[in-house]
Amino acid sequence: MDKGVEINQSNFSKMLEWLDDDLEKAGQAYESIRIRLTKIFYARGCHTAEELADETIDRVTKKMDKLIHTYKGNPKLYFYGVAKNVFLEHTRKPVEKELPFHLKKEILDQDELEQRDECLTKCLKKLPKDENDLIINYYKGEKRKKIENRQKIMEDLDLTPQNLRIRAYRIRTKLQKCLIKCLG
Amino acid sequence: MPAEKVKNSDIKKYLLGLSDGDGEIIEESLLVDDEFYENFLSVEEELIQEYVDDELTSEEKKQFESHFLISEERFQKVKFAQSLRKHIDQKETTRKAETTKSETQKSKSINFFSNFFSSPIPLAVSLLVVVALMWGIFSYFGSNSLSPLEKEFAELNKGDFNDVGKYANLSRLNLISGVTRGSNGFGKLSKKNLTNKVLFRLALPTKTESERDFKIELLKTQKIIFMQNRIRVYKNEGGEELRFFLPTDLLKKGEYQIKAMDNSKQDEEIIYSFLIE
Repeated sequence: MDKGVEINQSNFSKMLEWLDDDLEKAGQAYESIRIRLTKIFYARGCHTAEELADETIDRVTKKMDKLIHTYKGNPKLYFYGVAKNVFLEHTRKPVEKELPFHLKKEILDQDELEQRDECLTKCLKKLPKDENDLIINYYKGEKRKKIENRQKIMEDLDLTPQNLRIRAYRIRTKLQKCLIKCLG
Repeated sequence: MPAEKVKNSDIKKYLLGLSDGDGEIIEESLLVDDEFYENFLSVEEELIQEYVDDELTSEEKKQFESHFLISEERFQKVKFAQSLRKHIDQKETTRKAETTKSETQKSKSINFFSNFFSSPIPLAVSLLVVVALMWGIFSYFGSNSLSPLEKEFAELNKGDFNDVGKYANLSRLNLISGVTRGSNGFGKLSKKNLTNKVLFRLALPTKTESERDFKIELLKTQKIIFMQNRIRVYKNEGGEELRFFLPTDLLKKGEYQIKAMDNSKQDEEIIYSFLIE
């Protein structure tokens, strides 16, 4: 670890440049790495995944002066290597076991449920008809019926199961963003 | 193991903390492969929906709650999945209820008709109504299907012509079958002296006791220009005759023939000739 090195505008800019020559693309790559590292830490069961992702990025940024000249390969994989070390250090620290979120949260009250449903109705209406139909039919039914529904969508739209899942995911993401905005 | 060989079930296990050694491949692919990352996210959403839909095994459910559900973001995703499920189920329930209601109403209608027609009285009443309706339709369209000339003929001939003396002032033609032009008794009228209707009296060669009526055809130069069924037979001093009026507009200058056929003996034709000059 580079304990004496501070994170400043200079090494942060170098890190961005290391990721991509185009500053805008570099910014997107940075965000993408941060989100994906967070996913990895959460998947490894870390409750403080976002902090660990930031810690990983900070450590890489501190090494930029050396790295920019010595490291050959995909920068993203370097972040991953550092993330594994950050995780190992994290596992050695005594961590207070936190309760899962759903156990800490109060049950949604009727007003909130209604508000969410109202927003969801609005958001579904905002979707183009084909997307609205797809998302409704994709999640409609239970077990066998649901599988049959999805089979029919695949046949109708000539999609592979993978393509259908991705398409449903994209619509779902759009809906979630709309819902969050609607709920304020 | 290359990223493309990572199955969705492997990603699901990884997310639940049940991975058996493929974690590094998944994590590396997550960082460097955008397509893999998007698929990873879709599997994550599916996992959340499966949890909400209670489709996970007990072990998966336990891992989901203890290992996966550890961030505010994921908790929000679960809430979203619950809302989506509730909304879709409600929509489906409403749709099914509407379908059932529609089918019930349809079934009630079928039952009503089935019960209605299984009983003789309603059936008889219905048949009478149908017959009455058909008669009405037939009468309406029947009367309206007449040509103007037929209507005029019907109007002229709606009365009883027993007392022919009443029509002494009108143009008339008394015709005997078989009398041809140039023969004595050949009927002829002057066009310029015709009244607006002409009374025709056609002597019938034979007499019968039974009720009968005739069909007539008016021909000019061998072409039928008018025909009429049900011409009534009247008694006269010497026997029987057909009496009817023809509108004067029908009679232009020229030679005419009238074919009369006894409706009970279709094969017999009685031919009368006359001239309008």
